Amino acid sequence: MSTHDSAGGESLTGNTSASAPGDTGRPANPPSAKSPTGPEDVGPRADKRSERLVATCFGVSSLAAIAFLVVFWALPKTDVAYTPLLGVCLAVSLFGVGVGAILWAKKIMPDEEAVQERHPMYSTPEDAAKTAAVFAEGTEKTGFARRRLLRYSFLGAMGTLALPIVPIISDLGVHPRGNARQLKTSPWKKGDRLTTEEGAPVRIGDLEYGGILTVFPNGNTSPSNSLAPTVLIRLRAGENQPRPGRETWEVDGHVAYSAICTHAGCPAKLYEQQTHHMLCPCHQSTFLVTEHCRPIFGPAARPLPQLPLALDNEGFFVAGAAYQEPLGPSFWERS
Amino acid sequence: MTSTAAGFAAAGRRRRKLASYAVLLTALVVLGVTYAVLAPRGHAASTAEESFAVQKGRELFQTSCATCHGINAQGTQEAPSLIGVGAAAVDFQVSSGRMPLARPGPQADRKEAKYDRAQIDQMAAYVASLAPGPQIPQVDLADGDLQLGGNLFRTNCASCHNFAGSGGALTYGKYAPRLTPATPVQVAEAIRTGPENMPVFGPSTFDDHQVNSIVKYVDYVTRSKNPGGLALGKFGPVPEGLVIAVVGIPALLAMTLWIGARA
Amino acid sequence: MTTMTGKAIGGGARYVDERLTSANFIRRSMNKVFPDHWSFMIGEIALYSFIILLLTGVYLMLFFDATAREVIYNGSYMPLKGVPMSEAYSSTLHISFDVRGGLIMRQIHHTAREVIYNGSYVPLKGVPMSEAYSSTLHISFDVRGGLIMRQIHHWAALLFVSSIVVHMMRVFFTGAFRKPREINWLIGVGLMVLGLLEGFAGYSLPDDLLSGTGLRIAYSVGQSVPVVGTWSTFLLFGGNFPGESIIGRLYVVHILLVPGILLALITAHMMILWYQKHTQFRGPGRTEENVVGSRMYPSYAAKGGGFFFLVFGVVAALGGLAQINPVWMYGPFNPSQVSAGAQPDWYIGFLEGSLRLSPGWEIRAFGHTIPLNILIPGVVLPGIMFGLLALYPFLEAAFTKDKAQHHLLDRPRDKPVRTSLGVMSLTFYFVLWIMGANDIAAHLFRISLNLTTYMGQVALFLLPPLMYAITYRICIGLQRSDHEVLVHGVETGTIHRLPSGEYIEVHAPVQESQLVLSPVEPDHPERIEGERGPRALVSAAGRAVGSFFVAKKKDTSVPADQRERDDDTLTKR
Repeated sequence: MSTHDSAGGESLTGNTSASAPGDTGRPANPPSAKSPTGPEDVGPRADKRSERLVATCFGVSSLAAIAFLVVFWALPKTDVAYTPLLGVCLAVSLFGVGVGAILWAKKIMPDEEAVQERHPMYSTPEDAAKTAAVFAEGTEKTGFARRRLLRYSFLGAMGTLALPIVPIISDLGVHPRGNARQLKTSPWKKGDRLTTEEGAPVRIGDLEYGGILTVFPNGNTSPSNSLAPTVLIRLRAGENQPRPGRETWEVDGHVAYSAICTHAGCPAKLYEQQTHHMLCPCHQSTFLVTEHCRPIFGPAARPLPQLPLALDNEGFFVAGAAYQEPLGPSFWERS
Repeated sequence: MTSTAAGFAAAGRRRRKLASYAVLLTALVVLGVTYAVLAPRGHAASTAEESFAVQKGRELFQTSCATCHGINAQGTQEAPSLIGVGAAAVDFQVSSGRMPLARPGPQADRKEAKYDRAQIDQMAAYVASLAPGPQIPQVDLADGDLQLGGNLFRTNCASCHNFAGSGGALTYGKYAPRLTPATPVQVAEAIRTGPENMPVFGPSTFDDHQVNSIVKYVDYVTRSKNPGGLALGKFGPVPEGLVIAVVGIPALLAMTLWIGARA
Repeated sequence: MTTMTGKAIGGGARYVDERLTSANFIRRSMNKVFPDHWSFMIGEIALYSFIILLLTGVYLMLFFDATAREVIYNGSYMPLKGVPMSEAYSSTLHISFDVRGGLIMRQIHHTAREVIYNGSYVPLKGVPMSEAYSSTLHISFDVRGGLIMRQIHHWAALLFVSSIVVHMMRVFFTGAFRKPREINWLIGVGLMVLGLLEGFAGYSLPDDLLSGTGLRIAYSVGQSVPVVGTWSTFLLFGGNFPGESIIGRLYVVHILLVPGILLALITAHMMILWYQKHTQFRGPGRTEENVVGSRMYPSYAAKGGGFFFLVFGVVAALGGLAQINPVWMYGPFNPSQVSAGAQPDWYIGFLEGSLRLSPGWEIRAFGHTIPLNILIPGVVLPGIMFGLLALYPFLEAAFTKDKAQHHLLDRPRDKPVRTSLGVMSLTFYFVLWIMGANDIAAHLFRISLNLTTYMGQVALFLLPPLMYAITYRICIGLQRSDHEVLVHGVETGTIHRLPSGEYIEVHAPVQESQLVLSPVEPDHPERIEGERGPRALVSAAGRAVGSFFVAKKKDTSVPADQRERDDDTLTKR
């Protein structure tokens, strides 16, 4: 029933001499030949039923919209059902309109198939040639090809006008020179006390065996000091196998490493006190704490930098020296 | 007839009431005795009662723990020494069902506790009698500071246990467990004793107020109602993406099928 | 009825027409034919999500990051040093006096300055945090209906990107990207990439712990680019991470720059679609020269308009019933904190996965470092993936030497190579995507985290070619079963007993409506009827097996007289 002759099909929008709305397009199925499921065939009673169904949808929508208002004002906004009820009311209200409109289209409006001709997706050779001729004529009139002085001075002016963009963009952030220095500078200096998040200095005995604490230089917990977070870990005697030359960097089993992952810069401080694995939750780089935090799994390529530890004369932990290498992820100027 | 029935019913109610009083009284007595037996050593419990608990605890230990932990809790190839781990470690491991171990694996799983309160306390008393160690912490949620606890949790706990205590994976099959089933005392015990691979946070790392605060925050974040509807497991964006892929897009595709279907 | 309606609108229509001469245009628009197929509505989901995003986004914008807060000016303009003023004013002064060239480029500048939270979410009361995070909490807890608006916005964002991807899959597997629609394909790829960028910017705005972690990774990815990496991240973030400017800049990117470009591109996408007319599947009477379907007005308008409300309804239901991005639990961003299971929204998940699967490679030579472990998975790989996606129509046309215009769609089985390539690429993408959540999977299903990584590394290279082979087999199998049906007819289930005692099942000839799905003679479906059909199909199947995108037809040139009749042709106006 849905077939029709396409070969003889004229353009749907082809008739510009239309006087009545009906004949501007040609329905593929003449009204007399409705498909069996079309609305005309099911009779006036079914038609009424469809109408009532659609109207019910719109009615439900209105009721839900009013319910939304009631919930919005009557319920305290701290109520745990507040947001879910608002959502349900809004959704029902929207579904009512949507389902109603679609049922309207499917059940009430005639189910006709229309055919429309495509226009070709290219211009005729004559049109293209004419356009090219017009362009050539215009270009000729400007003399752009002939007048070299004009051409070069114009192109030069366009080029120099682009130059001011460079300093404007380069001043979006801090001056690029010295970036690398900033990234290479250790946020810890020799003698900086290891302090907790609340600013309390840490001394021997504050950590149990298998303990870990996030520490900051001299109470500087500012978020802008994003490379500073360091972890202080207390290992049991003999567990640490220091790298040659770093034997003096531990104090009584305590070791300190940068918490910032050398891969993408997340805080890698998921410490397993028995296996001594230090895991980064972002990309799962795993470092072995007892062996200078060398990477043993995942994408990280370098060990976590180690902070040399010492005690000051009051018995508090201090940085024995600044970090010996740039902290955090790699960058072009790093080394 | 009806009056008799009513009389019987009334009598029954009275009896039930009496019975419930009796149960309550018994429970209180038992509780009091248990408390007296188990309360941290010192004033209330006499040394005789304590040594009784230690005695019972040793018996329990010999039957169910000694095969792995050694006849004198000195540790073996399979299991660590329990000398000096304290009552807190025993209470945490046994009350959360992790010990006795069901089967060897990367990590002990939480399960139904195998021993009742009294037995756990006897075992704890025995292990505590071997060498000094962390006692079962006294958790006071009222003393906790929610804001302080939240910040401490995010700095020290969330990296493994996730922002809402939903847990997370660790290396090679180990994991930081979900905190929802843990009681406040168990959370505090875990902080103090560092079970298995969890780091230890002793009294000079976090004082009791800080521990109370963390426990209070854990209690809040795992039990508070979610104002935005279903919490989707509190795992962050992953379940949210799944909801769009499994609910949102299929629902809308079904609707396009309905709209596109010929009437 | 008709005349009454006509009279009612007549006056207004005449008013407009006498100013815009719009009658012809409007009539042609109302009569425009759209083919009916459910899969053609997927793109509409994306369009409608975008509208919902604009609506809710404007609302959220009214609350987010109020900057009229007192600060003490400490810039270089001496007369005002130490004077209390609003943040907006201070930043204007900053731009005017402390940024070179800034006086000309004046712009409002939002910063992630610290405030003390004093709203109704108790666990964060009195906690220092950025204005951005504090205002997000304010929207969530202290604005009536604010939380549902936030949640609708976020769900609509997830749906926006998802529906773009599903729409793109439909376009790919049916060959709708072929000439003359390559430009729209490119615009579509641009829309998807911008959608990802827009989503990431929005995800990063609240300055909570998760979004800060995401920005940290983004910073590291930017930093990994050789030569210009450090330079450009410093410019973008205003210094070393977290810098001072990124939240404010992402805000501008999120509410102005990218939405503006999206809006312009969506407009272009739809105008081109409108002008080129929609593609259609093969069917009775459907040719390369026509479009068969419903007219824009009233049928398609009612269905499409109704569908907008359904999309909005789904998003509203999700926004009310499923909690999304609970920033109050994440806490304010702090570079020393992190949460297990730190993940981005789903559409960035494939990058998270590729970073997780990367081996620990790094080049250190000649005083420079190139972190391959982040450069390859974070920059090179997505560059190649999106590059190939954008170039695919041109690559296919070049390999098949197909220069014809196509308005009839392919069934995926009829182009086994394209379909298999698509499934292969999707498999690659999905392995990366799933690996972006391997820690959650490892935790929930009690698998070793490390094992999931090894499995992912193997699967990334093993599964895609395997899926190519399987898909190719399935396509060929489906083609053969089509052929079977054509040759022998449809099984009727009626069993006949022959006089010889043999039982046979009666096969009925294929209905025309089923026949026309076959790719034999797309221009002349009627030819399948009769003797030619099956034989033509056999040869077509044979060619499909052995050939690589056979260009089956030459350019469809339309006779000049037919062109004259089409008043949609702009040259005729």
